[in-house]
Amino acid sequence: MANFKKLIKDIFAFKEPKPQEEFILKEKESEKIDDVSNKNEKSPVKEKKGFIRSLFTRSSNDEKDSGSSDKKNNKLEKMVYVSKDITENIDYLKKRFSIPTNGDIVLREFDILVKDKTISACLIFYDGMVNGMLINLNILQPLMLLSNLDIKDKGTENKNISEYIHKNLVTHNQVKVSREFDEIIDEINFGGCGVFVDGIDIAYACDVKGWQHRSVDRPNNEIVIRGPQESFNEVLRVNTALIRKILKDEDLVAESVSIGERSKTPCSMLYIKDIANDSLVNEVRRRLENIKTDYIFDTGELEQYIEDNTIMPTPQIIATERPDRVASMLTEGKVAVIMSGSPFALVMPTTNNDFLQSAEDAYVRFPYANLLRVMRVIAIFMSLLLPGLYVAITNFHHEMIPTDLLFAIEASRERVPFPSVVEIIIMEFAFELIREAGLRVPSPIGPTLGIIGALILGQAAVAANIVSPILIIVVAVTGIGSFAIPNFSLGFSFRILRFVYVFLAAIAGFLGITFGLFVQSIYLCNAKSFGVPFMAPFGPKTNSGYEDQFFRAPIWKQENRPDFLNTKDTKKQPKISRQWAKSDKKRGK
Amino acid sequence: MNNNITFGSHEAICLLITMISTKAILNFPSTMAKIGGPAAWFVAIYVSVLAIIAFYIISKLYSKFEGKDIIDIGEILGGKTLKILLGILIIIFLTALLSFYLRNFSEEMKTMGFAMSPIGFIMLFFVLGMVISAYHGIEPLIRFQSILVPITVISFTLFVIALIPSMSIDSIMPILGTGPYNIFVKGALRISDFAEIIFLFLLPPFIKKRDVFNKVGFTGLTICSMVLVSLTFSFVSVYPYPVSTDDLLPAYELARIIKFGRFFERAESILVITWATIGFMYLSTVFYFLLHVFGKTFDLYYYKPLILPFALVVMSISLIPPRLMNSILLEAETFRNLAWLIAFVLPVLLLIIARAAVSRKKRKTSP
Amino acid sequence: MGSKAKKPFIVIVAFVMCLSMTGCFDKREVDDLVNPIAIGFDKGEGNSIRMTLQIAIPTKVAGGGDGGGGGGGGESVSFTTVEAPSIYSGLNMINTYVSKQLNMSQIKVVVFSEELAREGIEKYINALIRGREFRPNSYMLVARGTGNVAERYLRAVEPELESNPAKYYEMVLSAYRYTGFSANTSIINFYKNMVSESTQPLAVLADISQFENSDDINTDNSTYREKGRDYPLEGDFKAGDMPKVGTIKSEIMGLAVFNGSKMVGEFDGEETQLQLMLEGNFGYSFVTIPDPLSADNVVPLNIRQNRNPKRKVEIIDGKPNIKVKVFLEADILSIQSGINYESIDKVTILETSAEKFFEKGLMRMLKKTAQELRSDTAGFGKEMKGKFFTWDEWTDFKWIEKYPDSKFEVEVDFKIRRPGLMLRTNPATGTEEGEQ
Repeated sequence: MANFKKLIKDIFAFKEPKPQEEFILKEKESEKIDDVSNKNEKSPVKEKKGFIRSLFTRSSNDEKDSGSSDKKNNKLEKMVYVSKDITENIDYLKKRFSIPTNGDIVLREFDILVKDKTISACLIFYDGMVNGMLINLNILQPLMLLSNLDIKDKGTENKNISEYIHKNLVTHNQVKVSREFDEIIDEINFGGCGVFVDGIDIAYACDVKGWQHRSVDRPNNEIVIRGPQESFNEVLRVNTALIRKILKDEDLVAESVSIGERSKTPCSMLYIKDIANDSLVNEVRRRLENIKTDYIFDTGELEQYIEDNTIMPTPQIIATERPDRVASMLTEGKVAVIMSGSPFALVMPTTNNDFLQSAEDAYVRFPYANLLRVMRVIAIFMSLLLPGLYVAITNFHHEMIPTDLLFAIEASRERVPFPSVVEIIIMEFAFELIREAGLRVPSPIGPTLGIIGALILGQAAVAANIVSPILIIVVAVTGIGSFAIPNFSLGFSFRILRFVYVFLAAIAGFLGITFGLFVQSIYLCNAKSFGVPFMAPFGPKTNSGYEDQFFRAPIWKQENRPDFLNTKDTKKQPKISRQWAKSDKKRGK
Repeated sequence: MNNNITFGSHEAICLLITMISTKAILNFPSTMAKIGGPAAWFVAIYVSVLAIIAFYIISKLYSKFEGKDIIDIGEILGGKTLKILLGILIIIFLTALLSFYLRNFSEEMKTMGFAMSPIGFIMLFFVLGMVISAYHGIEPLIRFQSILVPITVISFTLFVIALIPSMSIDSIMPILGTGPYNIFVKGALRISDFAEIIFLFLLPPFIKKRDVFNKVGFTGLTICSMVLVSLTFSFVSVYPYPVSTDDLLPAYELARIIKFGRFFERAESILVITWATIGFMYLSTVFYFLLHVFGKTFDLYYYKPLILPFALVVMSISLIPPRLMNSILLEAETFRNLAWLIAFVLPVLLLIIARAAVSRKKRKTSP
Repeated sequence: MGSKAKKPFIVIVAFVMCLSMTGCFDKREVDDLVNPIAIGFDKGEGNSIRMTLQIAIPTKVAGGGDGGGGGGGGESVSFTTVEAPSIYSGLNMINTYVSKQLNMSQIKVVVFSEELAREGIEKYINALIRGREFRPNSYMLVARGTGNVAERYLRAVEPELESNPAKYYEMVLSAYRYTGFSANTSIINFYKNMVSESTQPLAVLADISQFENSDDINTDNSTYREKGRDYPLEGDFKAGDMPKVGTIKSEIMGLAVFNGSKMVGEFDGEETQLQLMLEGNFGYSFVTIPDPLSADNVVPLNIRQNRNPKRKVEIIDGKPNIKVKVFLEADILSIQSGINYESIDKVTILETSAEKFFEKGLMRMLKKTAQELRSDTAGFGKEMKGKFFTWDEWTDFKWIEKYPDSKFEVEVDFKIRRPGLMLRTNPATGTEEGEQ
């Protein structure tokens, strides 16, 4: 009964609203709108700016944006050099690494036995990023157990001990010796372990990387039937090793570059020293070294930082995940950049024809390769122009359609309420939605949903008289054509440009399409990718290098490297590369 | 205006082919038919031979002036005044050419496919194409042409081959057409159809080498004449004499006849694409050279600010003739009657005088 | 945004603004158009013409959007007739009551009535040539008879085998390649020959059959009697006179001969075949020849023209002297009399008789064109043209006026190549029984 009364009270009586604690993201000090009095003090400085401008600037002073991270300014104090006192080092490390707040860092203090002295030392590393066995066996075990020091010289103890430790005790193959804290910390951040010994102002950083990573797997996006089935993974050294084992050339240089102020992502720039053009290598290096950013995560971002023209729809750098492809492009004289953490390598410069090639073209016999290239070009044209051509022909140039087809189109469009432009846009959007959704559907039903969705959607739309059946075919063929393009970015760019062409075709038929093609070609012909004109060797006509551009010549004819790369060594093969084909007489036997 | 852009021979040849062969699809066959009757193809050959001979003479005279175009030669000869005079003449010539052809292209595009659109709408496309390519400079345009011109030439060859079933030799009889007087005397005036050769004389700063210049000239003129003659021949052999003079668009009429079985008929809409492409290439090139010559004459360093004003001027001039017939008449009769003076006589005179002046100077300076 | 991206941005904005103010001209959806497939012209009152349009209904033609096609031809077209002073005024009038806009780019057939053709059709041909929408390859037909024959013909066309009447026209009118009873009289050829001073134009004859039941079939209108034959061969008819009945009422056979732009006469089927042979456009066909050795029987042959005929024109005494040599080849299809023509000695008899047959036909036909019709249909003027050097000399010669005085010499070279599957005919064995 009491419950019932309470219930009635609750429903009908007035209740004070509870003060609810909402979470508000506090602004920075400088952005707070202060009292008016404060503002007036600062205003005399602002009078100099123009009136309209002052309406739009923020009420506070402009923030000084240094552009670089001010991480270092927030530190209370900074130690640059390793001190001899281990407790000082340990305290600094604790502050720097936020121990014990930071849960996955391990600071292990231990003692090294030197004759009869006990020297304390400590070990610091990130749990999960290091290979525990390596630390145990190669660092802790020798230092703790096998440290029967025998001091021979009368020199200072420090030198002996540090060198002794470095050269004799730490049985690990990559040890870095350093005096500066920042270097050691950088190594620790990337999977090393730091060793600090009391009484020595030098610290050691050992490379004991051992985090979990993906193994070398089959390529996901560039699948070939014939050819190697390895692809890059996210570890930098594994990737460079994959390339080196193909090329086995000591002239293959892998320069290290570090990108990103905070992330300090290691990258490798690969080129073959006596083939690649020096100015090209210098230019790539210059661009890589002059990127200022905090963190960088993937070569996709790197590509956008160093490419020539961000607005142009076609990419100017090739991203590939196959080591054999990178290797073959290096032998042509191009430069490759591999970044740790990304399974895609960037190769530059590129020309238009590289986007039409897949890795398989070289491994497959010559007639098949040419057929495939022709198919790809047709696929490109269809994926770009087919909806536009459909709109142009059915709206402007009716006399081109054979009579039977014309009647079929008319009959099927009779009950459709939309004009054909609207139909096409609806169907294209539906197709793009299906494509995008198909990426995120869980795998068992993923591909099935894509196909069935498209079919059923199309069929139902036709039956409901929203679209005409011929349009379904047009949209489906366009979509399939865009999948046939070997390069993912290029296919993407054509997906966008397709809509522009539909729009142009709806305005002015073939004239609009030609206008679009003309403007796009002018942009393409003007574009340069790292100093190489994009449409070479057809754009500026070069002397040689036609053997593998549009059509592929048989392999024994591929004698020269492409001319537009201006390589140091232009001949790949001598004139007769199949020496067995010469008769014995000619060979002088 | 810095000229560190260099073309090779292939690109310059493609440029020349675009310039001169555009006429082949416009009204060249009709004009030849008006003059020569059934022997129009013969007139075409005759005119081409005349043009090649004229080029030969000019190239011989050019031997001392490597890498200089006409305006530079004018400057050497008569200083600033002659340079400005020459420049203005050439500017007027190019402006007239551009406006006529802009109008002709748009009108004929309208006739071919867009009967109801206003002319300004069609012209807007061409003008926008011209403006956009002028902003990017001559290089992408040249590269585009060097890719597309071989494709266009091949497609025209296929076009002519597809017409062979409809050709009949008796349309070419009688052999001498309207008579030797008409062919040789009146036909000689039509050398102004090759007046676009003046672009070749503006190219030396880009080509920079004399033997390349000669090669470009001869090869380019030969290919152009082959294209022109073959199209004229096919036109005249498909449409017998009186009919061939009353056609407005010879190439369009030819395309309408192509028929392969029941399926492939009325392919003239494909001609719209080729037409539009050639139109864009031609107009953009002439526009760029107009700006280039203007800048060179008046010693301007930047030509980009001139683009929009010139585009407006050209578009307004091209809208002046009130009807299509006026425009065609103006171009075919008035303009062409004078064009050969500027394109051929002017360089020849200039070169002869310049040669004489240079050799006199040499004689004066050398002991 | 950066200054580099500003300029193209401004250009694009300007472009889009201009276009959104102007809209899209000339843009017509496919289902906003109606496509007539045939036009007929009859004589109206005074100077007007009566225009009939045969319009295809796409939903019936194509069977709708859900699949399932077929359907007879009768439902898939609709007709409308209007009287107007010219073609375009008629089109304007029709546009007022037909819901969609007329689009003339699918016209396959243009039919003129005989009355109109005899008066001269120059003005209509000029309109058809000047218009951009009309196809130059559409066929020209002349409907025989008096009155509104063009309309009558068009209404009677009900194709059975196709749901699309356009396809019917295209196929039936290109049948000349294997029957030889019509010719390629497209509008552009007609126009070229009309204005040419060396050839005269031709048009295909069309009509509807006059017989309703097979009991009514007779050969009264056949031309075999004029040719001196005892029985009609398959070519001795013109359109409308063929001894046939069937659901397909339209008949196409023979040519209408024009002098300038006026119709002056007709060719029947055989003369059409000979005309094609003279031009060199005869493909192949079945032709029946009377048996030389057995008076009541015939020998059908499959005749091809593999080489162009040799034609020579000379001027003797101011009159043209025309020599023609036609080359034909044949395969034997059947020998009704059973005589062994396949053997080497008898085959020459057959060849000679066939040569004489064709020569007689050709002479008759050529004399008819020269003296009766006074028009040079085979285009002998082309041979004459090559003899002159300048155009003015040729026009001064006035070939058209000289042609009616021509003398002809015709020669036929006939070779029998193959006898089919049988090398000799075996007679039927049986005793002579039956009525005595």
